[in-house]
Amino acid sequence: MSQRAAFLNRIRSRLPQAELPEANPNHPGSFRGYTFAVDTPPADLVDRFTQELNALSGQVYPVKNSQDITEIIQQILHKHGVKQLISWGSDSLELHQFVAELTAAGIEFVANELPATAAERKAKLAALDKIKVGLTGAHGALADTGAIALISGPGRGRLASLLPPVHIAILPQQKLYPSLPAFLAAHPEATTAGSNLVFIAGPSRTGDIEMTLTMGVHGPGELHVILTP
Amino acid sequence: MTTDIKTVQLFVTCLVDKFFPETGLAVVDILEELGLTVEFPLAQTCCGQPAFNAGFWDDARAMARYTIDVLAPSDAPIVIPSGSCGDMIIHHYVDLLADDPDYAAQARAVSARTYEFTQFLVDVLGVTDLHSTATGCIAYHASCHGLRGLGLKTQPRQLLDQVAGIEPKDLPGSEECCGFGGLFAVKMSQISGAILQRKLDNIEASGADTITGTDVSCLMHIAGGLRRRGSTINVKHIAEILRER
Amino acid sequence: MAVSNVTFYERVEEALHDRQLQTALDISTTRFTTGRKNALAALPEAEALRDHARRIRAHTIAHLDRYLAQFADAVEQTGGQVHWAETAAEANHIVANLALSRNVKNVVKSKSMVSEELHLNQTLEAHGMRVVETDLGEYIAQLAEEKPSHIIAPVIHKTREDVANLFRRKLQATDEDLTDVPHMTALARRVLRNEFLQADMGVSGCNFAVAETGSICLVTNEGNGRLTTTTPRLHVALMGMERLVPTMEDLGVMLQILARSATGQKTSVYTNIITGPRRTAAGQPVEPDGPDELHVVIIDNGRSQILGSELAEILYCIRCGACLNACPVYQQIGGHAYNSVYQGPVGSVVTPGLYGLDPWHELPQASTLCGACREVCPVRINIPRMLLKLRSEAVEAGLNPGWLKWSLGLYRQAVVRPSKYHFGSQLTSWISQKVADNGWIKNLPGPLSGWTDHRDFPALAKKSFSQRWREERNQ
Ligand code: SF4
Repeated sequence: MSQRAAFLNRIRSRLPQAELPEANPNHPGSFRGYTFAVDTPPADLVDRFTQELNALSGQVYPVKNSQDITEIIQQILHKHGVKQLISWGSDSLELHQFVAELTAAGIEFVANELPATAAERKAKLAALDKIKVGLTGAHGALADTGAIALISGPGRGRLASLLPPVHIAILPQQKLYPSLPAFLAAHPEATTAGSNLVFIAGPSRTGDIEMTLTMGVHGPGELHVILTP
Repeated sequence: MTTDIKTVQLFVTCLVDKFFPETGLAVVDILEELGLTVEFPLAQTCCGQPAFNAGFWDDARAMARYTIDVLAPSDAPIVIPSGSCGDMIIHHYVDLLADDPDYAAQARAVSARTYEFTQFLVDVLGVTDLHSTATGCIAYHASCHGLRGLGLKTQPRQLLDQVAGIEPKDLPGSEECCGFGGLFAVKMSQISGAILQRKLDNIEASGADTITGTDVSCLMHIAGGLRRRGSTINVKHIAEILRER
Repeated sequence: MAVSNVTFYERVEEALHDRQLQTALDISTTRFTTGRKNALAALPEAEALRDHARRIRAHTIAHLDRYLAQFADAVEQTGGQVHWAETAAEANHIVANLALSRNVKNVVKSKSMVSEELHLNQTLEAHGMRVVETDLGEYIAQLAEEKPSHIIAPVIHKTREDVANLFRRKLQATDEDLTDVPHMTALARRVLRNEFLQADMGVSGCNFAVAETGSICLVTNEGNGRLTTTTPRLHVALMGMERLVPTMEDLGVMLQILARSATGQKTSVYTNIITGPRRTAAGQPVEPDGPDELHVVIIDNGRSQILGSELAEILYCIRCGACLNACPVYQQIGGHAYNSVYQGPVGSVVTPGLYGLDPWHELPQASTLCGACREVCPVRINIPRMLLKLRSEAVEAGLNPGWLKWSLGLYRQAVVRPSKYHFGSQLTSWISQKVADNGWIKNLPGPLSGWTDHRDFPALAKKSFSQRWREERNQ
């Protein structure tokens, strides 16, 4: 018998003796039936999202056009004294004319393709680790928690939002949802579209030493969300 | 009072019977003043909870069957001045005797007509004002089995709210365990004692001169701790406060 | 699992006298319980979500065979591989083989309770690999060669001075590195970042697995879970066989209550959902990064034993730690006293369930049965019911002290014979009145001295209620 068959058979043989209160043969069904009293009305989504993300020490920048994005990114790069960013491909970024503008101004957009061999992979990682800022788009955001959703795919790596100490994300306003359940309901394909779906709610944090809140322990210590119309 | 209940059966619990008879007398006074006839089956002893909680279920079953027999002759509501023994009879008897052909149905029947004292007053009789007048700064400790087993969240407080002349005090961590836990207090006395100290600290911080509750077991634990500390804070079962005039 | 020869009582004694631990426990459990309360109060659907979450977990466990099969198929469809391990030894063997055959030297780990069950680190180290825990708390515990003392906050028992001294010894930290907690954290980040860059294999746990999609969900605040599953080319996820939910929507329900119950956060910072290794087309990667291989090791290690028993409900657990924080016993003794991977109320059921009652029979006794655990459990697991069940099994197995069995037997004899009972108690009353001072006794004999070690004991009333009833009512 295969390992799998043996494993599942063992479970089957135990189940009749299992005392499982409230177990129903039918799946309990969708939670979509609930009315979520906390669900934010559409008009307030931006405010709520901003408020929640600010509470987690993330910054939100509402912008009108690509020009505004250029300026914000320049400011952030300037603050950190750097000219490079690990970036998603420009076609995965909203209003991406700013990419050309910034490139013209001497900013380098680095893609983060990791090679398949172990040694090359480590070398590439070491090089990427020197870059201080990462730039991504976003596939959604949750107003009730201030989280943004990112789905991996071609040109959309995980490292841009993970490796550098600063993460900038460009989020179109219409991708705001009241809550995680609302987002999942609207995007049933979100988990299977790429190998990774991540919700990011503010900068990386820890409270492991004496419960003292500290930012940026492994992931980025700064999160800037640029909100496009 | 809007019910047609005329008679109740009192199950007084072993601790009240042997250690704190005043509590039992207060319960009787209150029930009789409400016009009820109180039956007290003299053969009653202990509900069996100590054995049950220690895992001695055969012994507990024997005591449960015995208690059911004692209570069987009448079908009046059973009133118990203890959330913990109430929880035992209302919930655990049913489980313990579920496979007993002679007693399973009786256990369910007894369970259905058993009430903790404050629950009986408020939920069954619909009474909160007993026209009591007492004195002192009183804080309420919510005993765990009453609180979480029987859902006694508001009833005791509703009753206390109507007592004239007392000053209610907030007990920090009022719904936290006092560390009693029956035989736990003896078997794991260091842990039990440490939990008790926190409760006593809260009691002393509350500014109350009297602590009350629905269970003499926890109250006895608390009182023993206060005494050991040399504290003069009084400890009284809620019935004794409600009886004061 | 090895049982140390220091007894439970000795560990308890030590914990109760550890001032620093007591302060840390006070602060952390208070903060977690208040945080939880506020977070759930701010969510109007909280109670309905908890009910729903419980139904999901109950249904899943009742059909675990079906959902595991569905999950495994889905993982394989996305290009991942599934391994089945009945025992800890098998699981270790599987992981070690994966690592050896791929020439793995450096291993990074994100928090996994199952791996603690397996003692995986020791196994891999025995094969010459370097294994580093990357959750800051777990890393500190690893440096200190200690076990975590809390599901969510592994080193709540340590002060910043403890950590500073540790960093000085093990990481050659300078005074500047140790200025304050942010500096210390920055040091750990630098050290661990190097480990991530050099890692050949990442080992993670699994907060939830989704049957319909084959996804693994990891929640962390630090981001180490993401790095562990992104930088190395090989990702191995260890999954206790009960970690499943059927659908993505179900996962959404769990996530609404997990962080709120655990830390009082609305959400963890990173909710990382992994579905297969990095995507490829025609043998070429189409995603820029992510591991090239994903292996999921599904682990039984005693769980099917629990499943086929009256303890099966404990498999609904989502490992939030709320029951630890709420437990008056845990609040006093902390995690180490339990000497097990799983501590507090959940641990007192899981540990004897996984490893047998005999070596762990004190754990179910270490409870007042106050029910606080059940009250805060996001999936409303009736832990007290199972502690009671374990106590009854301990009696059947003769694991109780003789005096207890003897005296309860005697008590039972008396209880069902009222004349004996009343006579006995009259006698006791008389004696207790004699030895009492003003109605209270300061020293009880024998095993009962436990009571009077910490509080006075009342003398029995001179006349019992039943005596007075009889006399006053002429019955
Ligand atoms: S038993 Fe419940 S409260 Fe305890 S860790 Fe598991 S889910 Fe959380």
